[in-house]
Amino acid sequence: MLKTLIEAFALISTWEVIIAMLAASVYGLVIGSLPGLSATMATALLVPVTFYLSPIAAIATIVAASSMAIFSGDIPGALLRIPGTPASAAYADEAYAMTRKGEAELALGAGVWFSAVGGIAGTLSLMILAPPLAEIALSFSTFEYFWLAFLGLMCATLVARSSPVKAIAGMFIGLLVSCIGIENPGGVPRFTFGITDLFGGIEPIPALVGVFAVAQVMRAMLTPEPPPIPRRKFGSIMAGQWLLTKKYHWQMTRGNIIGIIIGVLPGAGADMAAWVSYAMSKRFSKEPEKFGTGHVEGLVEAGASNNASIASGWVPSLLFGIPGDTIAAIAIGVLYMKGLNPARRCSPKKRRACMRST
Amino acid sequence: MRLPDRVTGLFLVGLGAAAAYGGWQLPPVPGQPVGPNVFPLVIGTGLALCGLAIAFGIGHSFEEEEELIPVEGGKPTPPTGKLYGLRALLPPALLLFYVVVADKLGFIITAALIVFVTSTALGARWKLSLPLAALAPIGIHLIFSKLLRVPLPAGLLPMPW
Repeated sequence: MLKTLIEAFALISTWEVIIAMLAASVYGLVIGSLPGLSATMATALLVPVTFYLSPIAAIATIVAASSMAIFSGDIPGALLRIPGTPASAAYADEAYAMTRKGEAELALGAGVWFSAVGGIAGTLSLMILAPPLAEIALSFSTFEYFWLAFLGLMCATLVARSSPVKAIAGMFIGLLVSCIGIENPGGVPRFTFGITDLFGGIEPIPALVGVFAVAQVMRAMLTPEPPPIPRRKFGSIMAGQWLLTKKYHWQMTRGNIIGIIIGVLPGAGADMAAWVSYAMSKRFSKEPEKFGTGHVEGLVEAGASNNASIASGWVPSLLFGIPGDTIAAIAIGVLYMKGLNPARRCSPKKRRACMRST
Repeated sequence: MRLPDRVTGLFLVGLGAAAAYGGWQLPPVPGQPVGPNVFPLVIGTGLALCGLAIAFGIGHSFEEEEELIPVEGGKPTPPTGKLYGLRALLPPALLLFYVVVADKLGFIITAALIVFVTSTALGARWKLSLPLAALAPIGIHLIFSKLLRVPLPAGLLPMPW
């Protein structure tokens, strides 16, 4: 365990990886904090860039950008009441209420601090959980993989917030798109309509950019822009975070654990973790009447939860190839393109490397 | 712009039926139970069934109305003209435009047109959108040709690098 850990650190401590992580973090921060541009879109737009990076740097880029984007979604949530990513939607109201009370610094700081704590807790869980689960994954045969793939597809319908029928219909449309091309048992051109460009099938990158990025631009065409924020001076956002940690350490731990559990479940991602944790925090709070009026407790728990779920969401992605959420789905695509196939074809060493980059 | 569920559902039924029919036409592989026709058949049938369910409003009760978060100080009033909804079709239309025109006009000119139209549609004044249309394509061209080494169509206006 310790040896692989050191090996993994050696793998990521090259200039290329560090610079890529730094740049990806800044990029994720910017995209996540722009309302309407989700963490998923940030990741999807990164895919073409990862093409030109080494495998480790590519994974590091995706991981860094996605976790940064999830955290920075709190920023417009707190300041504008518009969650930057769906994962911040659960407590955007609460954070905005704090901003109105003049506690914007505290709300933002809680977002940063407890997101970071959550991310570390999730990563630790990934390191501890992944090896025993990998043993199970190694003994899988074709039948298990079929049902696992089936489970993954079904989970895709669970995450949709709309009606399950529409989600299943969406899944079928996706499957239909994947039928295009000559990669089928008979090797006959299928649904190509005589267009040679379609013979190779629809590649994942254009599909991802089309589904996530173009759709977002289409949505932007119809939504009016948010009003400008009044200017004021900001204090330090990290002030008072340590006091909060001591006061709400139990809430933080509970948020981390819930986030890890939800992240490990395939198909349930950061936004679900945030909602569940926020609800839980309210339910078990000593002062539930303060919720909704700008109370930091729910923010602590949900903030710790959504980032923990991002990290532990890599467990099903790396071991079984089932994405925990849309970001992981894109990341799996990147892994495949880099030859680091998730599931059993990913050698243990490389898998540890993927793990560490979180 | 929101289409009624009935229209979407019936469209899906049509798409599913077409897919199943298309799959039916494909030749099976002799001596193998699973040929190229199986997946389109299954998917097409499933899609058609889902389309029917949507058209008849099954599962409608699960849907939540999208919550518009009220903004302090003046509600945003989206202009509601008949043509306003069609703006959503602009991005895919521009993509098609790129596919058709890019090889003849070249990347720079096509991208400039697309940037100008998109930024204007998103509410930029011409003072912003014109310089943006002039500079953004050059920047993107630099990134693609220098950093990513992807050749873009030169067309009428080849870049000096």
